[in-house]
Amino acid sequence: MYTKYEEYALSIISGGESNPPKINGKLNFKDDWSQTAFALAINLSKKGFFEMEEFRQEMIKTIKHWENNHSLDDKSWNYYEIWVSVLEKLIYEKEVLNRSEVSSFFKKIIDCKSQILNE
Amino acid sequence: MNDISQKIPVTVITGDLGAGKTSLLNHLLVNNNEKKLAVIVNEFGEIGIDSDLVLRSDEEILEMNNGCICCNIRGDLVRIIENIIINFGQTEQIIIETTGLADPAPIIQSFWIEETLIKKTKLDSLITVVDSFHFNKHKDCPHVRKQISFADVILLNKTDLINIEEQKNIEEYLNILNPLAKFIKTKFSAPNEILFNIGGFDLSNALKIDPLFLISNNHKHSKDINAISIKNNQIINGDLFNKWIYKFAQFNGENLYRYKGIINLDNEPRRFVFQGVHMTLDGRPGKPWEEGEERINQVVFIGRNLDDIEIKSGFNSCTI
Repeated sequence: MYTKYEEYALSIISGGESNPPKINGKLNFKDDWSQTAFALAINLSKKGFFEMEEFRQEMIKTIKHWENNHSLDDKSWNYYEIWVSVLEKLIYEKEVLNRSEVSSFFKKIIDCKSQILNE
Repeated sequence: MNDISQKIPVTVITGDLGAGKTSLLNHLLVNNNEKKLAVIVNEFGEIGIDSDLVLRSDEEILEMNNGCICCNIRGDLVRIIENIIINFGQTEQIIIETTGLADPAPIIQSFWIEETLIKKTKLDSLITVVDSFHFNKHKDCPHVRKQISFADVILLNKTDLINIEEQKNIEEYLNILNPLAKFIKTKFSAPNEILFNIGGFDLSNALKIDPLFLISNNHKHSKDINAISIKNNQIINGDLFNKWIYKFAQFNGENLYRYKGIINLDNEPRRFVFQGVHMTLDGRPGKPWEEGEERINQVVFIGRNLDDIEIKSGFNSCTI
């Protein structure tokens, strides 16, 4: 029984094509920005902006699209970049933010990510 | 977890001998031109399908020319359903008939416990067929009362053989045994309403339990089976509720038939929905509460000799 939404959401997203990276069964975030993006998605879903199943289906579609356009050994693969792109899409589609707010919001996340990569 | 829209819905049909289950299955198989059905029964010979409609048949499976199939339930339900999924991929709805089983609970529980069934199917509803004409003769049979108390839909069959007053009395009696069930009246087991997509086991989209919820527990005509209902606007502590409901289900499992609830857990943005059959319990976040919506807890327990005070005080002990 899932009394906590966070555990329920994780159960939905795990165990299939959309499974997030884990080490020894625990979620693995290489960067702070990916952890932020993860928490943001869970919280927005918890508040009812979208269902986690919908998020999962978008992740599967987007991952497939990436795989179709990249070779298997492509080292540019980053699960949470896919996650952010899905989150951006849903935030816009569900009118959580308008288009310019979405762009500026995610620019902050991406800038944060770039800063870390450049360090 | 697989996409829920890909899962095959399952309807379980139960009822006493002679109530009209076989006729209902025959009606669904022969008159349905929309869905590809797979019906699982004790013996498909008993359904009496017109041989002109039969494409081919072996010991286990009969295929009809409208794309429907009938399976004999020999042994393992999981194996039969796997066979249906693999070899009859066009199946859009599975119906399981429980002749000879007084207690439909083990079948329901299988759909919550068996991994294949969880991945590939979704339990939709339990339909109990009731013989209106002989109701007074059978209403005190323990297995009939149990089948009624488990139902999401009660098909009141043979209503052409009783008058309106008798129908009304039967409905009132059944409503006390099971305040959650919807009634459909039929003659010759031919319902005018669709019996699929009832959502009896799907609380994820539920906003409330039932408008007939407000029955008074003082009208206890039932000798053994009773229904306890709770309705209030308290905030329920998630940890306390989790501990209480599991303990309660574990200790009282045998006497707990079906129970469902939609509650305000920890004042979270979403409803918390739960349901159970005996000791098997499932609960998860449901639909979000609307802004400004009054958050009402609605819970119903149906079972045998349930203690009204014990359940209400136990639930109330979980309030914040």
